[in-house]
Amino acid sequence: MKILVSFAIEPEIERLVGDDWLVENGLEIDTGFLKPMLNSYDESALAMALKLVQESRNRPNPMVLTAFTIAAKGAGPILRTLNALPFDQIVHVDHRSDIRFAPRTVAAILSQYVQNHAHQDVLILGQQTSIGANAKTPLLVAEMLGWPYIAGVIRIASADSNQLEVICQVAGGRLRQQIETPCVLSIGDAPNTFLRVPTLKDRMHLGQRPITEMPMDLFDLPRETEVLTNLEIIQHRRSAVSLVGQDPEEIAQKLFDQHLKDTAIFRSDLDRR
Amino acid sequence: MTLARQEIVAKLIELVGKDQVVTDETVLQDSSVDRFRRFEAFHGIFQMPVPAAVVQVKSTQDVAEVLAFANANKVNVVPRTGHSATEGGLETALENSIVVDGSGMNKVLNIDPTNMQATAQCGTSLQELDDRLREIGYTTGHSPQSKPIAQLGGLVATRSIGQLSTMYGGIEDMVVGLEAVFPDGGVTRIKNVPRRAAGPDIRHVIIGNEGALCFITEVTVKIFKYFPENNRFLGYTLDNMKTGFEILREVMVQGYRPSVARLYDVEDGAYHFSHFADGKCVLIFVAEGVKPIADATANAIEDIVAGYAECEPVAPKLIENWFANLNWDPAKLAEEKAEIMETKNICNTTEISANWGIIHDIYEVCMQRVREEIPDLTLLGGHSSHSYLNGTNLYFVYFYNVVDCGPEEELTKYHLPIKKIIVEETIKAGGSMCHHHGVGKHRTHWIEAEYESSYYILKQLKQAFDPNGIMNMGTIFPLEKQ
Amino acid sequence: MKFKVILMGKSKNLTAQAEQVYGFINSNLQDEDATGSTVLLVTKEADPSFALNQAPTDNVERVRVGDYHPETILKGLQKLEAAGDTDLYLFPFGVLADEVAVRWACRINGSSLVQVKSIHRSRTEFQAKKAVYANHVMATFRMTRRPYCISLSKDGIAAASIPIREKASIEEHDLSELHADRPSNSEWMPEEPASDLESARFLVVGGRGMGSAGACRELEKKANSIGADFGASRPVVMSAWAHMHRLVGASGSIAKPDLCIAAAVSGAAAFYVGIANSKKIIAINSDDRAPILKAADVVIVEDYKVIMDALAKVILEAKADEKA
Repeated sequence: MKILVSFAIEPEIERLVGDDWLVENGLEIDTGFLKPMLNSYDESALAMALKLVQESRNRPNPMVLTAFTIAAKGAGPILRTLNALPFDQIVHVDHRSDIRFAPRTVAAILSQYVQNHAHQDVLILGQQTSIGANAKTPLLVAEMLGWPYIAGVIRIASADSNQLEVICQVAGGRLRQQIETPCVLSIGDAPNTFLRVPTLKDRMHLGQRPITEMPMDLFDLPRETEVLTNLEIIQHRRSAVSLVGQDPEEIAQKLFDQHLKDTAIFRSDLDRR
Repeated sequence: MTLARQEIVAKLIELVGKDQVVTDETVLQDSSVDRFRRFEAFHGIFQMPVPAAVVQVKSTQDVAEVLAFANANKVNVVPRTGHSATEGGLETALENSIVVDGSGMNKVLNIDPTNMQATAQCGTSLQELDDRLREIGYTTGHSPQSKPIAQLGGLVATRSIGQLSTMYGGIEDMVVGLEAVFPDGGVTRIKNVPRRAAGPDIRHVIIGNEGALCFITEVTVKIFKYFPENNRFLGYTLDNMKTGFEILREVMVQGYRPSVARLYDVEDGAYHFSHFADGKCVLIFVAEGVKPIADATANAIEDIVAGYAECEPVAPKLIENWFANLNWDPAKLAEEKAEIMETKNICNTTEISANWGIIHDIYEVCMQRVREEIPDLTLLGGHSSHSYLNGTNLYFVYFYNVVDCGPEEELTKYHLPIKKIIVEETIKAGGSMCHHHGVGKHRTHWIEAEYESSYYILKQLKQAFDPNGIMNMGTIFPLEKQ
Repeated sequence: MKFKVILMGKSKNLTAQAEQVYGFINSNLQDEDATGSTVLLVTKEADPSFALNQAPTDNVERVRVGDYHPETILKGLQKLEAAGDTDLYLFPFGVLADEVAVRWACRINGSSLVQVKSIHRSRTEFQAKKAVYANHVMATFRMTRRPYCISLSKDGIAAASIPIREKASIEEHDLSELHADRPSNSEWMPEEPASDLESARFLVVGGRGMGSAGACRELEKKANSIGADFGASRPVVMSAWAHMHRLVGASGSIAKPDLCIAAAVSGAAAFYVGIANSKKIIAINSDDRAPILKAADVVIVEDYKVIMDALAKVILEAKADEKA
């Protein structure tokens, strides 16, 4: 079974503070000085796929696992880490354009890769990126390929030699199901799915294996149907009155007296408890 | 005659009152260790003898009474303020120890811009003191990574150093006067004068004593004028550590004193700067102070580095952003704990110092040996962060997965063998095994090798000031040698 | 501009979804140029007249379908919308709505955006706004291809109650033969829902700074002891210190309590949307640089444990005094 995880590499935007959040030319925010990282959904996707494939290693027909990304600069260390974990193959489509808000482009490249370059049985994508947050890419891939799509996946396991079983978090509960391949899985909020850290020895031996590089011009790129016209920083500000005191007891008493006592919640006539 | 636990607690309550004596089991366990044993502690394993009590002292008088009592009854005392120590210095190595916690003595007593000094009690947090100074245009210039949580008593007791030391110096250059209490309960005050040649400089008996000689209750430090608006940030990538050391040396030898002068190797650099230094070493400088000096320093460093073709400049904004996020804060520490528990992967460090002529060789041999001899490493790197006229330090950083062993074996399987390699190679080459964290309890094995014939002087201090052996036993001096 | 609202009749959140769509229509589609109707999809389990009352437009097409599987809904829309004269499809909030909006747009060659907060139309352009950069930034997009398919954001849109009145027109369609194939060997594991955080009046939320699962349980107990519900930020549920249904924030509950205490939460933007509608926010965090300290009404820079312990004592004493 061939499994491919498609992931994004994004700057660590939670390191931006205060004045760093600044829009230039209405469309850009300078993040060039931030470390690149994997967003939480993609990390879950990669970790879950890795675990699944490692568990299948000793079976007949072991799975083959590819990590696939469309990224510009800064990708090197992350790709080498994935190589060392190990993923069987790393594919890097080198792009220079702005794909923050380009789900059709990303979906088209991934779909064409699967159709024209390397057939896959299962495509796994994180639900959305931090920056673009379009939550569309996995859906567009499913539509472009005409494959079934499963959302909110939080666990993937082998059912038997050729089947996979997934658990999805949906409203009201969880659904466990065996899936038909080929299919597209979108990873949701999956607790305790962190990528492990490769050892130095693995990084030296496996991490240096060649990565498949593919230029963008191998792919037909569609026009995006939604075009960014403006960015505006969202500010949340409240009065931020500071409460201080000699000790926690004094602070707590002030908090209660000045801010809680007279609210509807604490007035006895409206006390529900 | 050894006192029983309950007797110790009862006497302490008599001396300082029930409210200041803590015997809660969780607090006691937590007080038996410091960051050195954090992996096992996170797992709820506490291998050190649990102390009899934690005494929260509120005055020098409290300290004097508690020490006198402990001295008379040969009870081990561990002085503590911020609880941020990293080398086991706070471990309660003997049964029924008393942890004397000065964090409640947290008043800033005096800020004196005329004489450029500030006086504060031992439990004052460095962050708080520095924030107050910055409000009026001054700074202590002391900026260790533990700044948000460390307190003055511990910072002086460990001979700590901050990230801006290349310009401001280490704590030993910043202390003006002190107050300390010795085991017999005697309170000693060293006055604030600019310099004195009335015999040896006795401040240095106290600075760096790691609680093995006395309890520091009050500190006066120099303050400096603060000009953050003049800060200049410089960064470079380069191929070789050797070149990096040469550049650092040249900057220092020419007489320039940037506040920050750091050299990262490829691995350590990748951890912090992968977005611009993939596969390269990194050199970082920060120049600060009055504008003419900050600019002259930065310009001169640019000229010096320009003489080395392999150095590529990096946008200052990247350095500025990295610098703004350096220090530990409580949120980062909580995150660290969660990550360690999830990944079973932990980072530890060993810091040494050596003269220019030998530092690169020490780096090479330590890296090679650790890489070959230690299993399950996921990162091994190092950086130089404090430079002097005649040499520099090396901060070895290593991450490893804790594999196939219980949490209580993590130190013996990984950290201690790594430390052994680094300490032995450094001493062999002629460097010092401890640059700024203190000996603690886990480098005591090599203390005589570190000092050679001058160990005589160190040993005499212990015998003179702590004849009954009650001050933080197991620190600096190995236990069995008492 | 002809728009259609697509609602699923048996959704647990039907009323909330419908009221939000109604509020959205009031704020964005009130000009004479806009005419709308609702496609109300109902399976045989749904209560058809209840569902009808939730329709946010006066004109309704009530459509029987076999189930609410996305493929079923898409096939149903294909049958209903053969004429292709709808300009805008409005889907409510929710994962299913997001999925159908995007896939429907693909099938009819339109454009789509999910979790939209508002739209702006001129004669030549159709623009929509949504949050990007982990809820730090509001982006405006020009949607270039009709029909426009958008699903709404759960937060940031003022809902409005739908007046109960007779509908101007109700068209009935029977597409009950449409259903999706049941996935093989599937097992449905229902979960006990937590108390509804979105209707809590007093909420305590714990963040990553709690440090451990044990500390999280402690804070939850403390919260309950003072009469508050308990929620958690995303890092907490992702480390499984608390169950996913306690999640407060962009991908979880959007709460609107009278009083919210955020303890040991740094206050990332994606979390903050979950408490932004609180009447009063009290933030307790020992890190004085935590972003939430600028976005709260009252800030306390201390260890949350000692403050919450002290506060619980004060509250319980006050309650005891009242009773006495």
